Amino acid sequence: MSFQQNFDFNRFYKLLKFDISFNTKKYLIFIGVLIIVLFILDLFFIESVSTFKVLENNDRAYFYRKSEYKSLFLVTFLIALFLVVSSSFPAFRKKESASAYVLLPASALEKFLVQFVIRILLFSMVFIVVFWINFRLASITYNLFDFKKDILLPNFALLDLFHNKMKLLDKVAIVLSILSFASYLLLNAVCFKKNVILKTIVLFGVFVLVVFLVNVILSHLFLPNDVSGFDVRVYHRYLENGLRSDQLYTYIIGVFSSLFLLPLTYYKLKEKQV
Amino acid sequence: MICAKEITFNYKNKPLFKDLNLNLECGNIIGLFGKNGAGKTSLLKLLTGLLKPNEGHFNIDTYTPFHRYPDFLQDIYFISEEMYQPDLCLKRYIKLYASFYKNFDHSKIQRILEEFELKNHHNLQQISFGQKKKFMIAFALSTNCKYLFLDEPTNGLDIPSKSIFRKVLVNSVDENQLVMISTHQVKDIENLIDDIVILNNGKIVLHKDINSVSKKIQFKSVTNTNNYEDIIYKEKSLEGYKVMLPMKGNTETKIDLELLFNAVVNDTNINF
Repeated sequence: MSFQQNFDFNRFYKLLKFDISFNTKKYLIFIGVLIIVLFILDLFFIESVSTFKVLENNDRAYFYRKSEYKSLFLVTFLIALFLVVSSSFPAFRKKESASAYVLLPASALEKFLVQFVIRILLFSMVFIVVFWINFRLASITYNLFDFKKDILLPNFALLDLFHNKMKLLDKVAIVLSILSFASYLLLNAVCFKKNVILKTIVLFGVFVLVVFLVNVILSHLFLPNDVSGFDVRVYHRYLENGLRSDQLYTYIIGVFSSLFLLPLTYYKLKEKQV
Repeated sequence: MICAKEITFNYKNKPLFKDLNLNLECGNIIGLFGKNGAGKTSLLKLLTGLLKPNEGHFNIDTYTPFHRYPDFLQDIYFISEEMYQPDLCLKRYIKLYASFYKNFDHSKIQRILEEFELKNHHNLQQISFGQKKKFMIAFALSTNCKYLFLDEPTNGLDIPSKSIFRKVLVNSVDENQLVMISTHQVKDIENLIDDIVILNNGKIVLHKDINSVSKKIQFKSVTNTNNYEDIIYKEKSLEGYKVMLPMKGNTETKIDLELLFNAVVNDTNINF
């Protein structure tokens, strides 16, 4: 069969438009809830994490650091990504909608890509904008009502998130690890019919437990004199470019998992029986 | 053309079909009958590519259904018994879904909706089960798909709607299309079908066209069976007995599908 049977841009665009039109209400409600929740969180964190400093001219003020903005962004983004990607392929939650979705005249690759684009790429972009706007709104609101203390709020630009002293390799590793995390969620959304979020958490817990137990066993096997009970001992070596061996190991898992998980998700979708 | 070769399929580890073979030509309306659990819905799902056979293979034209290529999906439509009811009005549903079917006929669906007394502003979640079914039938017929698979289409339809369904179906289907109707309500479709397929114990125990059946067998209601020595199958009825007899002379009778079905599933030896 020709490539056109697996991917056709017009069909992909039609399916993308279909998904957005079909779920407009749902997406708008989610963005609305996201705006409200982030606004409340921003207000709360502006208040709670600002630190008190004495300035050069002896003025005293509270500061909100850029790093706090980035931390809050990362945590809220990962939580929101978890919810959004776990609820991918909503048609699979019910038998009747599942057959209608599977029989919709588009290829499995197009169906997979539409969810990938909407739930991961578009959502990430929307989240960055929504988070930034929310923070600005929260800053204005905070200063307008002058709650408990005067806080000097830095003026963040939209893409300030990505400006930092981190090495390019670390940045790439973080972005690709997030992609791997999203791929894992997407895979679960295809595989599980009900209680996807709960099952995803349980499965991840089982995975972490297995990794931990394997490490315990390996530590006991190779370093029997250094460990006892459930201790884990991992030796690390310093590599070139300032990398550590355990860091490289983590990066490899984080970065390359998506290379395995994304094709597996596509395969599961293609082989899905309803 | 639909061709199934040596199909074996297990449903939840329970064997359902073993070495099932089937050939169907376009231009026919096919009635698919079977007892509860005989596998009618599973067969339809296998034909549409929703399920994958454990062994053997299906061919629909040049396609293998389970590959679910878009060109194949554009040519089939399946109305399942459990219908999908998104929170959409009929007009919006048509707008969203029709674009995926290259031969979709917008004027046809409006005509059928009118016949079924359905309005475009009706919301799918606020109409009755029967109305939903009528809408899905209207949509399926308007796609002009080459292959239509209808699972219990008359379930939930009121008496006038059943006759409208028959009329609409006959008027909508042409000789390039194949319609397969799975149902328990044989009376609803007995005047519609060209071919009969009966499933029993994981096999197709009968696949005949209506004409060949009526040329070989007579279906009669009699008060007693003493005068008939060559009865193929009989069943008690209010008037006495319903019997199946070998054809004598040229007097064709109307096929009693229910009687034929009972005869077949009771392993009656019918010599066609």
